[in-house]
Amino acid sequence: MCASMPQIFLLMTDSEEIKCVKEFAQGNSRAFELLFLHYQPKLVAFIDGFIKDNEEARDMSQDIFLRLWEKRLECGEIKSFKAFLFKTAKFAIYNYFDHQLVNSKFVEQMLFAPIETISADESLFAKELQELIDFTVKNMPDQRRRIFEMSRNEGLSNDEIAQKLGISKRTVENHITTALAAIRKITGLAILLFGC
Amino acid sequence: MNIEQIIRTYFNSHFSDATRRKFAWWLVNSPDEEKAKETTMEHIWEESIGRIDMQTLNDLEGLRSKMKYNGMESGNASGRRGYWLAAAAVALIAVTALTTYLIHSKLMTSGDEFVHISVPNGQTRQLYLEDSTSVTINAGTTLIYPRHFSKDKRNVFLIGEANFDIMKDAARPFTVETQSINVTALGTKFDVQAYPDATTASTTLEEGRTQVEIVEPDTKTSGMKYMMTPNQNLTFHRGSGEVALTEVNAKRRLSWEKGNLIFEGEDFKTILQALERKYNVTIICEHTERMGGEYYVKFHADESLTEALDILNKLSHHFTYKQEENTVYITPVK
Repeated sequence: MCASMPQIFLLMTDSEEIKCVKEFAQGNSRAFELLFLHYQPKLVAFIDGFIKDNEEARDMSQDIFLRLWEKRLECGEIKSFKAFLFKTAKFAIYNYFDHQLVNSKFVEQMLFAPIETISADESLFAKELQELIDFTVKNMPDQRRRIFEMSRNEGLSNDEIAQKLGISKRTVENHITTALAAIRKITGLAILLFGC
Repeated sequence: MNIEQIIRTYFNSHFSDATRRKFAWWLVNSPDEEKAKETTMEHIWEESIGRIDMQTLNDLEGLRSKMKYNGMESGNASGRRGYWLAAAAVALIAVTALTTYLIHSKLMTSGDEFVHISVPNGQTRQLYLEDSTSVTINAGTTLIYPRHFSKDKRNVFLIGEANFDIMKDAARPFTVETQSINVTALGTKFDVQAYPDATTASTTLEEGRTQVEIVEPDTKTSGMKYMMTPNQNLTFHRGSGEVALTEVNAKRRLSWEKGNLIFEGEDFKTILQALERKYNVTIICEHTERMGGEYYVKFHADESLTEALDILNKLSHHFTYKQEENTVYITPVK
């Protein structure tokens, strides 16, 4: 792609962007739509790269912008819209992965299942990833690790693990799937956006 | 592989479900590496390029309708009536104005002084550029050009449709840039059509010679160049990247200048869009695809919208319509 190509990219200087954010916070829909045109394609590309589902990435982006509009009064203080949007996107991706992992009963079916026929590149990638996962599991707090190993080495279901350890199934799931609270630390505005 | 390589490899690849889940698990579950992950993701975010395309504009439309809905629901609409009314108006004008703003702000950064002219729906306008080139700008169109051309080239940017009658100057080729195609000429008469909401971009040559380059990125014809001779039309299909070169009667085809609208094999939606621009109305018609593809029809300059719609109805005899102020509702009949 050569630089002179007349594509429609939106170029805003930092000061224009700050002005735009201020005006949008005051309810100027034009300013909001400019921000949308500036950032939505980037947001979709970014989220899609992680979740590998373009339609869902569009929906998620739509959701983010809609909530931004609804919470516009609180948005006047945003210093860098780009940085703010990044944090929001990252949170949305993590959130999506969480839900996906819970829904797929990944421990039993996916995470430790034998690898399907895949390309050499992918198998190398998957192998390295597995090593990192193993390392993470090894460094987990005791209870969490025990649950993982029961699940992995003994092939026990969440129900069976719950019975064995005398804890609820939900706790087992939490241990296995819920990422650590430290990772989820999000700042004020993102909480506003996601209502959590 | 380090953390950065893992995330980048994943981001740029399409792996199996199982591998994707491994990645998902690793991404959200290993807190020690969180800082490095965040840094890499932020770099990828910085590098991610999004291009505004039809889908973006559709999404914007969707967002607008939801914004409108929510605003009304929560009773926040007071004082914003003007906006909601405007938001309900045609997408085209707003989007054109916005994209204009974007390109304008891009061009502005180059330091030259640019003029931009937007011709609203329902009008056309003729003007002369610095080099005495004559441009007739069709309805719903924006043209951006430098107040002074440089020594070695004459470039303008078009969103919409215009006819060009280029002043001959062999030392300074004249290029009409659009989002999808660039048309370059030395001295010649031609038309370029590249509306942002259309699925095609096209150019028709009346006299002289032009060279057309496909600049829409990521299609199979990206970067390809075509030489055109008089009475040829080149139509680029933005979705498929297909390019069609056909023989046409250029004078007839380009007589929108005189207020006529001529279609030779265009589909129903294209005709409605042209009528919207000529008569400055919003035409709402669901299922335009049911109305078929190939229309050969000429609307005369002095015909009213009602007359034009009646002609169209005779040709397709498949719809009923009603007009409320500036909006026309067309309902296909089964």
